[in-house]
Amino acid sequence: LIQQLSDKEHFKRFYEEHFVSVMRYCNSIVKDQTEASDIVQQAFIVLWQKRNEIYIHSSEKSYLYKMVYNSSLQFLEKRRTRSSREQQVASSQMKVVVMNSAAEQELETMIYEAIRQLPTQCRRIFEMSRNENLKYREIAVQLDLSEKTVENQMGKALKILRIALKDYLPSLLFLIYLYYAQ
Amino acid sequence: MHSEEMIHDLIARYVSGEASPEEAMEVETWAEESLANKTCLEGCFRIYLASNGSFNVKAKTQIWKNIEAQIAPLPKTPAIMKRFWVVSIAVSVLLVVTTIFLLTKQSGRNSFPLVYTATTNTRNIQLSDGTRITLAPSSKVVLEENYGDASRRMTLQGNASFFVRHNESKPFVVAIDGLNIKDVGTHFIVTDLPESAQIKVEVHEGEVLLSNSMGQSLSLQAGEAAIYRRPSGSLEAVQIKKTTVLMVDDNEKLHIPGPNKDSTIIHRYSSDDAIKTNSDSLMILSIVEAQRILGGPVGLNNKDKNKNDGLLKLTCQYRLLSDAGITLNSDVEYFGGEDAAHKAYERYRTKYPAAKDVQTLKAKMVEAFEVLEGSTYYLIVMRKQKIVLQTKMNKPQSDVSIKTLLLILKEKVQGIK
Repeated sequence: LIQQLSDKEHFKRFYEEHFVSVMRYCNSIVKDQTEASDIVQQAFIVLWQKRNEIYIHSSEKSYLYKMVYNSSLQFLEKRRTRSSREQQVASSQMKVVVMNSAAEQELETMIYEAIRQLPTQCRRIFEMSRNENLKYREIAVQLDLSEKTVENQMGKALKILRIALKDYLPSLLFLIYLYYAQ
Repeated sequence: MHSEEMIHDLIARYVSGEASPEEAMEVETWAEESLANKTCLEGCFRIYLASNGSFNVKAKTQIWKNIEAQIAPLPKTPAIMKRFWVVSIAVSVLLVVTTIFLLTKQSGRNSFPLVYTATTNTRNIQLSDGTRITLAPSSKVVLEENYGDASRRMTLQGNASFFVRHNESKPFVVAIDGLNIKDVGTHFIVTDLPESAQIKVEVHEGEVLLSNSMGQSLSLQAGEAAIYRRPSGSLEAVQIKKTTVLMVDDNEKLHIPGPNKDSTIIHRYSSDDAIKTNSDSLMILSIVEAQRILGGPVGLNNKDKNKNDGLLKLTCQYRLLSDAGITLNSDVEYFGGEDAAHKAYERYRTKYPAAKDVQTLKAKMVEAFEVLEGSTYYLIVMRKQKIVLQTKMNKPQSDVSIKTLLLILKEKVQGIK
């Protein structure tokens, strides 16, 4: 049987260890923290409830990730099939975020500025992914590029942006940490 | 292990939601390797999502609580068998104690329990006479033994909010530490402030009469408050610090639920509308968000038990919020959005005319909230002239105006400072 799920203590430790990462993963797909919490919560519950029934080939961790992955895709599918009005809503979810503080607004402005400085194609791909929420495949088709190129360009964009913003990011993350920890 | 290029491509896949479970695990493992890696990953999330790639620490605790509540106790048969005799003794003792307890209870005329305690969560209590009490965590009320016979007396420890069903012939009195609070048809809130050796009583509806052991008394009308000072026992009228909670519905109408249920609805709000409530603190909250935060239908109460399709009422108390890990200024005492709730209710009633019983209605209501068009929701808590803002939006059409509202609020607050 699975060692880490043998009792509640272990299970809690397992939860503590993986919660943040699996939330991040889920959020990367659904881009909605509330939905992500629901999905992750459910995944942990199912994992616990089925701990005696399921035979896990690899590890409980990868089982958890797979569950979250599947539920996230299901959620996206569900959202896609809603009424056209809601579909509109879904396609542009969460792109406008009102900031916590002046400091965050400042960062938003800076991110925006930094994006503008990106090489043209790089920027286009980054914006298509970030603002229009297109899949790499869709971007590749639209721009007549290979998926691999899109992926590389995204990586490049992130790297450039991160370097451009490196003076600001750590301190801001710290601020955010303070905000949540208060 | 990875070249920098490789990891950036991988992170790019990850942040844009393209990563397979394996890839995600790879990135997470990489992030665990050093603080720099972790900062890098979080930074990329921020750049991409323009929102916190990090997660609310409190959410972690809250979600664990939810999970814990749902996972059944362990089927640890062998261990239990070994300790069977311990368990059986415990059970017998418990039985005896319970029996004695029940017998004692039976001898009283009231079948309702006499002691109500709220430990970690807020507790809503409905008494036999229709009086409702909301007990804050770690608070307790003890009803006098023949509560409801000739008089209605109780003692309170801690904080509570009372909605009293008035009855001339049976005066309702709350005693707290030498202070007597007598209602005259009322909603009032008692807050014990041990650190300043004070008890605060706020009247939101009706009238109450306060009296201390020295025979001094003070009458409070709706909108008034008083402080009782220990150990002197002096009573002093003070001004209520107002907190206004604005409920925002999908049409971006602001609802300002007044303490006297006369919810003001401001159509197409302007900045002045939000401010003219002249509160010390201000909170904007939509039902959907309240429901999300609280993880379920918010204080869904069946208003009238006799009616099968009972009018469901949606109210929530700030203490529920604080249970959910959101700390609010203790001045925030009340909020509800009945008007918005009724509207939501009507909306889903038309949607689900077949739903007859309350259970079905509740279930449907949860559903209805989920599909409530647009589901824009946000929460603003302003306290001590500092805006703490948490927000999430789904409805692009409304972003601009909401953003504008927030900016205006911010300016106003900075202006006050």
